[in-house]
Amino acid sequence: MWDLISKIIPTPVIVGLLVWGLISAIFLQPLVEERQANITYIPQCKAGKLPQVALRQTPRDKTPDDETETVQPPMAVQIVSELRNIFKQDDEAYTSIRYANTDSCSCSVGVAYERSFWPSLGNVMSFGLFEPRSIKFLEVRVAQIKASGICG
Amino acid sequence: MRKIKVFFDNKRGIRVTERAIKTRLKYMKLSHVVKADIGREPFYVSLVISTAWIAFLFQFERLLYAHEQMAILFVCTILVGAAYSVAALKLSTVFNDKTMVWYDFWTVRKVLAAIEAAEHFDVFGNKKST
Repeated sequence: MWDLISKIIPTPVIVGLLVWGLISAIFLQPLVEERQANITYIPQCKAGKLPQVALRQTPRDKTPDDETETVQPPMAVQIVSELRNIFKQDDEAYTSIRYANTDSCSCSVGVAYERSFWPSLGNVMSFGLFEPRSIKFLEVRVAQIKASGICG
Repeated sequence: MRKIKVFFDNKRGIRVTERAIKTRLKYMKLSHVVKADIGREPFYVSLVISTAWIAFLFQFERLLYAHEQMAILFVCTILVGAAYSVAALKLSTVFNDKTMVWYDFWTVRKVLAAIEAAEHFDVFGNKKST
């Protein structure tokens, strides 16, 4: 299989792209995120110019209504949702420690970038040509995180 | 006893005679060689990385200070220049390929020319009739 791949894309090009990916992930992505945060998103947050967002109500917040029948999702979906909730709670605990000495705007932007690691890496590796929605509308994610209270 | 004709000897471990090529670590009879070429993989890898880095520089120019932009250009130039200078001598027999030595590009070119010249002589040191 490697012979087929190396005939389509030469091995030096594959190696070069892998090295470029490593350089982007280790050096360039943190640099771009920090500079963009300082230039665009943190000033926008501090000036109160973030878009208005409505927080999604989590199922835990809803009180069960006795008169209506609740339909349980399949077992597999319930298991996956519970696992995701567990990981989100763990993430929030580390978030409060990691950003303890920063203001809420810096924390919100930092968390937004952390949650968009792979789209941000794709954006940097493709020199900004590939711009996923999570990066294009990052201010919405920042607003959601700020409104959710993760960063205090 | 007839003296073996030497076509290349850089006194640092690479020697091409009418019968064989010998490096510090490898030895191969020229009669087994069916193909010889120069590998430039480091140069192509450095071209990919430098092109990507310069494209990054142009796209994210507003996020970089002037000295950082200069540093990127400098590093790319050094990288491409250094990679251009390095080459491998690859010899192929009927059954396998072997990388004989990694050295500077100009020496490897001379070694390839020496192998080509040695191909015109048989194992007894007589020039082959064309």
